[in-house]
Amino acid sequence: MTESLSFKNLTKRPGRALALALLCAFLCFAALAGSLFVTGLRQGLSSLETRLGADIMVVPYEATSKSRLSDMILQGNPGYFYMDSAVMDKLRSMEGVGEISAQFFLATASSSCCSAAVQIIGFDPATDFTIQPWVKHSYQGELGNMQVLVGNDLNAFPGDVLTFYGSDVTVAAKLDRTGTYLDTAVYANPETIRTLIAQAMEKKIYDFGDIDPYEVVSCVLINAADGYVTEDVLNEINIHVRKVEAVQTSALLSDVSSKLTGLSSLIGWLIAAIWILAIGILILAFVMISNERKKEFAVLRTLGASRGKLAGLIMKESLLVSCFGSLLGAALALLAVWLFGGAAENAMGLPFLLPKAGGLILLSAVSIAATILAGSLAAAVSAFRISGIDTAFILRGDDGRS
Amino acid sequence: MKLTALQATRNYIRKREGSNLFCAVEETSVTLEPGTLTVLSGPSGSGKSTLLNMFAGLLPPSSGQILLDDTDLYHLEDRELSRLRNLHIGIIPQGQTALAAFNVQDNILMPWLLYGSRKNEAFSEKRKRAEELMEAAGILELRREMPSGLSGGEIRRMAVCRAMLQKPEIILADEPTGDLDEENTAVVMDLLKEHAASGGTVFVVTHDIQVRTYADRMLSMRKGVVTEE
Ligand SMILES: Nc1ncnc2c1ncn2[C@@H]1O[C@H](COP(=O)(O)OP(=O)(O)OP(=O)(O)O)[C@@H](O)[C@H]1O
Ligand SMILES: [Mg+2]
Repeated sequence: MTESLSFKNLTKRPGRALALALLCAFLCFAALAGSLFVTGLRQGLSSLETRLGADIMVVPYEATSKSRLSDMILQGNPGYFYMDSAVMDKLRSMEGVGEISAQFFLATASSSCCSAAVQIIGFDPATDFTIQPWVKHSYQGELGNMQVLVGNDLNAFPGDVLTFYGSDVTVAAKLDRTGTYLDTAVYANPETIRTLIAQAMEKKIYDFGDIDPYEVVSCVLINAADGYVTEDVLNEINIHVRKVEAVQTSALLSDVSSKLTGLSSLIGWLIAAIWILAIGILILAFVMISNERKKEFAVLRTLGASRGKLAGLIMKESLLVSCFGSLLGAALALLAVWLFGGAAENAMGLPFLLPKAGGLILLSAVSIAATILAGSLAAAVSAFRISGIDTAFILRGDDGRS
Repeated sequence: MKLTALQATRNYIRKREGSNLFCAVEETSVTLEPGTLTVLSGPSGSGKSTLLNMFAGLLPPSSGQILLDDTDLYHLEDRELSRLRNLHIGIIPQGQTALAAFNVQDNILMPWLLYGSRKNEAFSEKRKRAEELMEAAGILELRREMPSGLSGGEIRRMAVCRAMLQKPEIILADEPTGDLDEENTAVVMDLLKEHAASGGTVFVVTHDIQVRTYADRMLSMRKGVVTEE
């Protein structure tokens, strides 16, 4: 019944047990919060990669004062730009162009659903290959005229009616979280977008310049056809199509991914440093505590505790402490990431997507297990020392002789 | 059960005097008999505790053997020796030996708690046994107290009860009355005497003249040499 002995030993010295538990909690917190953070960033980036989902983006030349494009894509700042839709036909006929689909951007003034301006993205269901695969998770129907889909971060729900530029649109579905700019956007088919643009122009709510809403697109997404190299296709477009700029999406993301790599390795080193330090402190703490408890263990020896039993007692105590501590640390880490993940996301201007429940549980379990392992390792050092004590010698120490 | 020292010696290395071997117990052959309370007295530093610890299975002799009936204690695995000590040898070490994290009753039940459960029949029997012992030692009303709240005499009486919990055949007591007044000394010695009277093997190491009056057999020790009185 040494479990209850260990438990009693701990509860009778709550301060000591708590200090050790907090140390374990700190270990677990560092490991879990750090790895959640890194995974969140990684997943955010890969989510963005798949959602961009095309090798090449063709945008009007003026949009490539690049920051505008990357602001929009990385930070979700609403934006819009237009080019003549004739570009579409020209691109489609070019050699090396595989999948191709146009998108339409529109930035609204603030509306009922949202505190700030909202990006509206129009995609053509007939040709789209980037947005629909993701939409399919939450909406299988055909998006009708004046119907929209809303990103996960928007405060709107299926059935709600939103008003953009004086026109009402109905929310058909809310989309899965991506951790990217797509979460704060609204999606519609090209007809709806054109209607909105036309009405906005008619009511003179907004000045789009002298464009014909039925003759423009905002951007064209292209995948290189099989057997063609993306760079070649890109160059072809930039040489032969005027007033547009073809941008390689991976180049757009390379900035983010290098930032991410740097950050990940920094956090990795930080976690490693914290762990080495904390394990050192843990070992020291356990050794100090067991030195102080030598007499107690010697008495247990006289009562018939074997060396193995003493070691077991120490290990069980540390197990209780590190279980409690690591659960606490894991809970705090999850809470912290849940509370502050969004803030960090905004501060860094990087896409951030937490793993799903399964991934969270897995990461938590790994951190908890690692912490318990570290605690046990630290305890093993003192268990080993204590199991070798010279009982007769220690009992002598009592009278001030040695 | 009887406990025999067979030509047992014990040397210590004394670092202060170079690495000279210091012989704390000269070759000693002595048998502690059942039903007998044996008292060993002698001046400080004469090797009494050293001999007792060898009997207890806590200190291997430098040469010779310690036999419990016919079993050589120091040929046993630690696990076997520990269990044997747990069941058959009650030890009252020199000095204060209370376990600070446990109350008086749990301290006394500790030899049982080390290997047994708190849940079964046997445990309630042990608890009854502990109560009887506490009653006899006059500390029953202190059973829920923590050791920090007890006097030296009360803690010593607790240690005696603890050593007797498992009804061990052998009891080894190192200065069990060292810091006790006459009254407490009488309580403790009566308990030990009773144990011997009921067939137990009791070995008491002491300076105390009063303790000698309880002895069935007197030994004295001087500079590591044991002699019969
Ligand atoms: N671990 C040790 N290392 C070195 N010397 C030791 C050790 N243990 C005991 N001694 C020495 O052996 C001698 C006998 O010690 P022991 O404790 O057996 O004496 P004792 O008769 O019990 O004395 P007391 O009555 O003061 O308790 C002493 O001189 C002591 O200094
Ligand atoms: Mg002594």
